[in-house]
Amino acid sequence: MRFDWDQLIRYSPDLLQAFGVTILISALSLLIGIVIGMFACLGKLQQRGLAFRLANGFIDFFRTIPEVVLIFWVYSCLPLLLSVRISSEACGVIALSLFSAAYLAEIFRAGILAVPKGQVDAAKALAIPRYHIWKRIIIPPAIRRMMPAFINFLTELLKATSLLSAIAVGEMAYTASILGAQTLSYFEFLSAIAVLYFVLIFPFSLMARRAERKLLKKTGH
Amino acid sequence: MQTSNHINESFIACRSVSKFFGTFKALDDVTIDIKQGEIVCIVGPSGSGKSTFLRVLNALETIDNGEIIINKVRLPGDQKDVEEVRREVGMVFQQFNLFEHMSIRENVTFAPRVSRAVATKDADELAETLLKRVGIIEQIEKYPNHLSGGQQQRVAIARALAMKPQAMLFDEPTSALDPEMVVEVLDVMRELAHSGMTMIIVTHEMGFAKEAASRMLFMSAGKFLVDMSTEQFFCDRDHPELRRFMSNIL
Amino acid sequence: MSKYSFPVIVALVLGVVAYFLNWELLLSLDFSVVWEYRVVLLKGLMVTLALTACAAVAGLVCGTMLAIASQTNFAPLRWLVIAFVEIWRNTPLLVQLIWIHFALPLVTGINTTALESGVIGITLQAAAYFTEIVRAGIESVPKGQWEAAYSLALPARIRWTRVILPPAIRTMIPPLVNLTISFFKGTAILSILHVSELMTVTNRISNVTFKPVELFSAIALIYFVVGIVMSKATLRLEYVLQNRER
Repeated sequence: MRFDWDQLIRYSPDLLQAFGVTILISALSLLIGIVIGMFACLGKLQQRGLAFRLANGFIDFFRTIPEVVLIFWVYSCLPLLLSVRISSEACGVIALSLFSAAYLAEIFRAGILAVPKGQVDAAKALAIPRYHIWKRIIIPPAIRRMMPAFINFLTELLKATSLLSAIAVGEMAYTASILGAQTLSYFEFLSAIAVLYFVLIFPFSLMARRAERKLLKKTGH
Repeated sequence: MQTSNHINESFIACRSVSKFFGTFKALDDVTIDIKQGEIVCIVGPSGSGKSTFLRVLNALETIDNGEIIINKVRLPGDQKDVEEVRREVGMVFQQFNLFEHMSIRENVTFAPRVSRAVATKDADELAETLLKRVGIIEQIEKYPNHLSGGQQQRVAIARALAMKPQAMLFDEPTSALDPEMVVEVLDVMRELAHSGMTMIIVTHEMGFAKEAASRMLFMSAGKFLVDMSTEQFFCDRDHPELRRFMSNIL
Repeated sequence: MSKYSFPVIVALVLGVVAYFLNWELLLSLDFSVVWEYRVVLLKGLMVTLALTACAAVAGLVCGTMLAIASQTNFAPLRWLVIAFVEIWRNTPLLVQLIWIHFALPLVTGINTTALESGVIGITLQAAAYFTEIVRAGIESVPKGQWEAAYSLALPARIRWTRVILPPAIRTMIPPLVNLTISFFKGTAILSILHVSELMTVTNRISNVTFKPVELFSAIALIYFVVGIVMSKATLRLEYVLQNRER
């Protein structure tokens, strides 16, 4: 067989648009996930009580069920339960936001718990108010410590967007399957998006590894 | 009403203070008074509760029993009381605990600015004065990990002093230091003692204790077994447990 | 006041949700459909678990071989392993699956069934991830152990099986188990090819019974229960391993 570049070039605008959809959905889910994830993280840091149990249950549930099941549940059950129409794109964003929130909550928590206890002790001993302890003593080092895991999660999120093709969201994997079926040039289109995904995801993997090495050097372990 | 007389004369008063970690009794019914201007050294084997004692005085640990009255504020109390106590009592840690991501200047000026609402300019001036006093003024723009352990500990002392506390707690301030750096930190503490600061020091530096302290406490298994003036403590060693401890350390 | 603010917020949120819920549908939910199709669903779960086991075992075997190959001094082989690992780790499993199922036969001329494509895909992905873990495990063995093995002139096979791998495997066990759990989740992606695992089966039943809410909620719960049992067991295992070392 020969590689049919013409087909690829002819449909490149569609692929490009799909690339945009992938990025847009990832970005939206990430933003919403960060907000919900922060609340879940705060809840879990309580260690006991109602807030803790709610946050813990939320995190456990959405980390444990497969992303595909979550996506299908949101797509086929949520509109029925709320008796509203929800577009498949919105369903995708809702599902991936919940998925992100659960993972990010654990990543945030690990970062915060990695801040040495002595730093907080010293701040308390200086009578620094709680707000300033969080803002200046806990959060800056916590962000540095959570960076590798956070970037790594970005790669997972980008990969997870491909699952939205199951509910006909026009992102890369879906577009390529449709184009492949229409033109019977599966090999060209599927290879093309495989390369696109790799080009999109690999730099983040490298960044995560670099951040990790830098952190190891800095904290000296 | 009975205790109010005590409050007036003692800066720190502990009444039947107990602290548990799980089932382990770290402080066992401790009752003690410390007056303004006293230099108290606490010695004792590791794990005897010395650090815990200092940490409850700064409300870094909550107590399970009894009460502590510091500068007329009662602990356990609400967040306001806790911060009130911490403003008046400074603490220096074994591991320095400087804020790693802040310069030396920020380390010293941060607390006065946010918890005493001191203007940035005044806080800067104060920081420079204090850093001159502990001899690290040249390093003011550097970050903690560029300083030696001795220098970091001197910054930590300056940082605590910047809150203008009435008393200072030292939790084994020289134990994490290389031997050649111990002296520079002890010099700063000695100078501080001469200035009339109330100090409670957990230490194994007996030479320093003998010279600077006005009162010695020996702690074992969560209790103060010995409470004497310094002269008495170093002459009269009839307490068997204390004798064993001292012969190990000297 | 702040003590009560959180329960109040929770109550408010629940109230808003309750207002928007379609109570008619909610009250007419009939979970008997799950019981009715229990045998089919159970078979689906078995396929899911079998695929998980397959990914774990085949992935571990391939991953170990690749990890050992990546330690060789022969550079082209090393690069090949690295390229394989990076490509499979940095593209989505779904894309790999449809590529294997639809694109690869065009090149090889060999048509694969959905199950074959699914097994190939998840095994290769598992191999790539396991390679990384095994490599990290091998690299965690202190250099002195290698040098001691070399200086005793142990043959390569003995060096690997008796000196390097035993301590490496101990540090590898927790991440390996975690990875296996994530492949348990990953098998649901195989539903895109209609491999008859739990997710596919559920989709099929939902298409004939028109009861998606009951079915998808039920299998979400099944996945959750199986997954949480596995991950709590892992925590326990990690705890036991840690305590044994001391």
